[in-house]
Amino acid sequence: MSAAAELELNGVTKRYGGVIAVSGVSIALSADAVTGLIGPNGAGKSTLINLISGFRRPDSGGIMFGDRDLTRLDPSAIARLGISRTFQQAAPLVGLSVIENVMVGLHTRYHAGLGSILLRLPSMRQEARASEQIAGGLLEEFGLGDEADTEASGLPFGKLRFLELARATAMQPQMLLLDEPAAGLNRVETDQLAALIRKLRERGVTILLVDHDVPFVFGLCDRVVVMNFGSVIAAGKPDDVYGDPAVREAYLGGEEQGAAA
Amino acid sequence: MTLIIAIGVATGCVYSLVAVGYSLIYRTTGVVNFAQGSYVMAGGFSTYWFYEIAGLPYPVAILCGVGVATMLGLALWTVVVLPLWRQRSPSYVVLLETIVFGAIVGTSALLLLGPLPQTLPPWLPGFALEFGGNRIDGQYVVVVVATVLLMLAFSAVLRFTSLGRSMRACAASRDVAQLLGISPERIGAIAFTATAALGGLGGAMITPAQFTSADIGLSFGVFGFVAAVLGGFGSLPGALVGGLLLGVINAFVGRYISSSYQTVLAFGLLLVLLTLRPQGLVGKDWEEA
Repeated sequence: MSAAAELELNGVTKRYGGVIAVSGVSIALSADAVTGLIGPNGAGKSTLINLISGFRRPDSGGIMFGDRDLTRLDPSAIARLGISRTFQQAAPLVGLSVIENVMVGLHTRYHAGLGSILLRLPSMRQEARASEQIAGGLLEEFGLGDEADTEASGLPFGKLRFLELARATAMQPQMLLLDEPAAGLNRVETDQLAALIRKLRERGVTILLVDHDVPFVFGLCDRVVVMNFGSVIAAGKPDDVYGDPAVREAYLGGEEQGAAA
Repeated sequence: MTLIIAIGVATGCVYSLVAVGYSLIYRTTGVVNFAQGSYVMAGGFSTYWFYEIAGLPYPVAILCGVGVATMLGLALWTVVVLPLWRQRSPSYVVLLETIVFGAIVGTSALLLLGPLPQTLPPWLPGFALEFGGNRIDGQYVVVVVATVLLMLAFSAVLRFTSLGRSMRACAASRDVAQLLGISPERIGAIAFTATAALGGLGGAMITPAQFTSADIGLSFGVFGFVAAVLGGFGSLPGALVGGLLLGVINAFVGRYISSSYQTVLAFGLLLVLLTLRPQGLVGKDWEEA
């Protein structure tokens, strides 16, 4: 894995109709760290992930990954540059087995095009064996070793999340965008997830993590960014952010008003 | 009787190849491509041109003929479908454009090569099978064997290669496929090209057993589509079963009733079957093939 590049957002803005989902966001994600992105519902967290991964295009502003401009690239090109993501709704590839799901993730590295299928069948077989081995190893690591040949859509919810993470990891990403990976997981699964994320960080993967589970995010992340109404209202080390009045206001303001009424 | 079945099965094989085209393109790109039948015409008719008029050796002429059909598929994708796809045009617009494209191909063939039906020599001259006292033209055997081999090759590519996995990934979810670094546009180009080659080869194979003319694209397009839906849209074995069934029924109707009733019966059958079994005769997914 090559040295992780830094991701930089400069004044990124996205509107849906008259609603500003993301408003002039400028943040830099330092390499080899886990950055948590939190904020109340509708703060623009998921939109931000969609913008970075190319599923939406910003109305203005720019997104740089190392020295590459991501702003006008389509999602598959961004993925090939080494930015991988998971979805809020676990999205297994229906009709493919668990191991095949992961092997598709290996696609960027083990890539046999139509020409090579016709021209080099033997090397393709080798490739297939190698990719099956790697995929099998990943499944073990993510606790899915026994389910390799199961139809992916038949997995229970928690396992689907791990499959999704295994698939994203298979791409050997430099950066991983995780959209609410802990949503719907029980305590044990959440701890397993945290351990896997730490392991990925040790391997030098830059991680951006969006989640509602505040203790989970603060326990795991090196750095936390807080958004509200499409803007970044605080960023820094978890302890500093935790004490920030603006953050407390964003999270607790509504409740205090409710209590006063 | 044996002969009618042979004709039906061979024609049905070509319906199957067209049906696979419909299914693969629909599953990977979401497009229903009604130009699928025009590849059969283009493959057969341009092989005729390369052989009889340009005077190329027969195998070379066949390759060139299939090449023309393949290029048509690539052109349809690149020039017509892809720009619409990028703008996220509604599917009825894309559907209409593929019908228009097929009509243009048919009309061009009419203008370039005339309205007369043409035929070609058999691939294996002198080869025939004795079956139940009947002599079955070797070309029918060629069509059947080649179709089976093509189908096997196609499902092997889908099942066991990384390209096949990418195609199935695209069929399952284009969003997820993209985030895994697969370009749906590239997969679309491959699907349109490969299925055009399949249709073109079907046309080049069936022409020696029957004939080809500028207007057969439409009927192969319609019957191929019916075969795909009959078998279960998207299913590879379904395409084969649907195509064979339709081919045999058509052959019997054409022989014992009247060829003008073929369409009526095919559509009648389709209506009845879809009421009873909306998912078609065979399974649901070609990834389970």
